[in-house]
Amino acid sequence: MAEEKEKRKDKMEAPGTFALSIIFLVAFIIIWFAHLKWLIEVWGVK
Amino acid sequence: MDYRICSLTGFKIHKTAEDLVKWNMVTAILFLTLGGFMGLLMALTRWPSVHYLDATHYYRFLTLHGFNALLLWILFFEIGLVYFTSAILLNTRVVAPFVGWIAYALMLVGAMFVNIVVFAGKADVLFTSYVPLKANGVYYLGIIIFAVGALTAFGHFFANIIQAKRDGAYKNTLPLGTFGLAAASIIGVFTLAHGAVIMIPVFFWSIDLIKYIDPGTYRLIFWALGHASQQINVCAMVAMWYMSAAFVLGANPVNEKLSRTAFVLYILFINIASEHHLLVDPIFSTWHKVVNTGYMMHLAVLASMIHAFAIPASMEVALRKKGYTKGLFDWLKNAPWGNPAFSATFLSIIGFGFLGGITGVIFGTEQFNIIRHNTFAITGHFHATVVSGTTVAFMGGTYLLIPYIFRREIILPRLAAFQPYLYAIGVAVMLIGMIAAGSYGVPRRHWDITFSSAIFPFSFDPSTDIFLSIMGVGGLLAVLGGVIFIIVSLGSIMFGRRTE
Repeated sequence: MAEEKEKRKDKMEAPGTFALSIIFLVAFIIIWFAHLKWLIEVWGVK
Repeated sequence: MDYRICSLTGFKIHKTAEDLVKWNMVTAILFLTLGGFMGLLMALTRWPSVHYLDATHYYRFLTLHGFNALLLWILFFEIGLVYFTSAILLNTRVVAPFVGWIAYALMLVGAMFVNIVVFAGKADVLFTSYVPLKANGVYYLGIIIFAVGALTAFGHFFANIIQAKRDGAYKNTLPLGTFGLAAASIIGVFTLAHGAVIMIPVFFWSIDLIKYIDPGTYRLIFWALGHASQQINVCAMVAMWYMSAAFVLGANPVNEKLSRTAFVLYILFINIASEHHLLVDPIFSTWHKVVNTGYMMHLAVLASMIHAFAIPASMEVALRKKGYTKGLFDWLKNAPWGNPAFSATFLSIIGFGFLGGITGVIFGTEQFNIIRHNTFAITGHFHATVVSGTTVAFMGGTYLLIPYIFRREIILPRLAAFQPYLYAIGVAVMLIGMIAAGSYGVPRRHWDITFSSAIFPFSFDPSTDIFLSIMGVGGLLAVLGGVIFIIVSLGSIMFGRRTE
C-alpha cells in the first residue's frame, strides 16, 4: 500500500501546481459565493 | 539569402523576418505610449475628486484610448510575433518580404487615418462606434485599411509555415509557440472577415451611399470583430507564456497534446463567447443565450484553465530538474523573479486567470450579466484580461525578445526587474476599484456619474467615490509602471549594450 502510494507520488511531476490549482478552485468558489451574497445585499437579487 | 546565427539561442535568423519583428514591435510600443497617455486622462477624469477633462475631450480621448491601447499596441505586437514564430522560431525565412512590408504599411496608414480623424474631433464614436453614432468616413476607411493590413500579415503567416514545411523546417507538426500563433491567425481571419462585412457598409453609410444600417445587426457583427479580436490576443498571449517558459527556464509542455487541444478549443468555441455583449439585446432567444453562456463559453474557459495550469506545471518540472525539489513550493520560491520576462509571464497568468477569468465567468453568466451589463465592472473585467493578461505578457515578451532580436542588453536592469510588479499591481488595484464601483451600478464610459445636468437628481451610494478613488490611484501606479516600461524598452533598443 505504502509502496503503491509512493509510486503514485513519483508519477506526479508537478505537485506544487496541483496544490495551486486546488487553491485557485477554493478561491473561485469563495469569490463566486461572496459575489452572490454581495449582489443580494446591494441589489436585492433573490 | 541573408541569415545570421543568434549567439544566444542558436537560431538561424532571416534578416527580413528580424526587421519585420523589430518594426512591428517598436510601432506597437509607440502606440502603447499614446494609448497609455490617454488611459491616464481617463483615470484622472473618472476619479470624482479630479474629474479632469470636459465631456467632449473625454469621449474623444476615450475613443483614442480604446483604439490605440486595445487594437494598435496589441495587434502590431502580435504581427511581430507572427514573423517571430513563422520564420525565426522555425529557423527559416519569410516567404515574400514585400508582402510583410505592404501589410505593415497598410496597418500604419489605417492607424494614422483613425488617429488623425479622431484627434480632429470628427469621430467621437468610441471604440465600439455603435450605429447610429456616425463618424467621418475616414474613420471607417482607416479601420478597413488597418484590417486589410492585419489580414495580409495573418495570410503571410500561413504562407510562411507552408513554405517552412516544404523547406523541411518542421516535420509533423508546428512547435507550440507557432501553433498558438496559428490559432491566433485562424481567429484573426474570422475576425477581420466580420470586420469587412460590417465596416464596409458602415463606411458607405457614413458617406451617404447607404441610407440605413440596422443597429441590432451592427452590434451582432461588430462583436464578431470587437470581441473575436480579443481572442487573437488570448491565443497570442498564451503562446507568449509558453515561449517565455521555454526560453527563460527551458520548460517543455507537460502534455503537449493537451495544450494543442486547448488551442483548438479556442478556435472552435471562443468566438461564440462574443455573444455575452448581446445578452441584454432583445433580438436573441433565451435558448440562444443559455446555450452560449451555459455551454459554449465554458468550453473556451476550459481551454484557458488548461493553459493556466499547464504552463506553471511546465515551469515547476523545469525548476525541479534544476534541483529545487524541497516541499511543494521550493521551485516557486527559487524561480527567477528578478527576470522581468519571467515575472511578467507569471503575473500575466495570475492576472488573466484570477482577475480576468473569474470575473469573466461570473459576468458572462446570463442572470448576472443583466445586472452587470454596461457597468464599470465590465471595464474592470476587460482590463483584467487585456491589460493584466495580454499587455503584461507582451511586456515580458519585449524584455525576452530585445536581446535576441535587437541584440541589445536591457538597460536599467533593476528598474526593469521592478517594472512588471509595479504595473501589474497598479492595474490590479485600478480594476478592483472599477469592479467594486460597477457593482454599485456606476456606468462604464460615462463622463459625469453625478448626472449634474439631469432633470431628475440621482446619486450613487457614497462608497462608490472611495472605489473610484482606488481606481484612480491604481491607474496612476499603472501609468508609472507603463512609463518605466517605455523608457526601459525603447532605451534598451536604442542605447542598450550590444550583445554581439
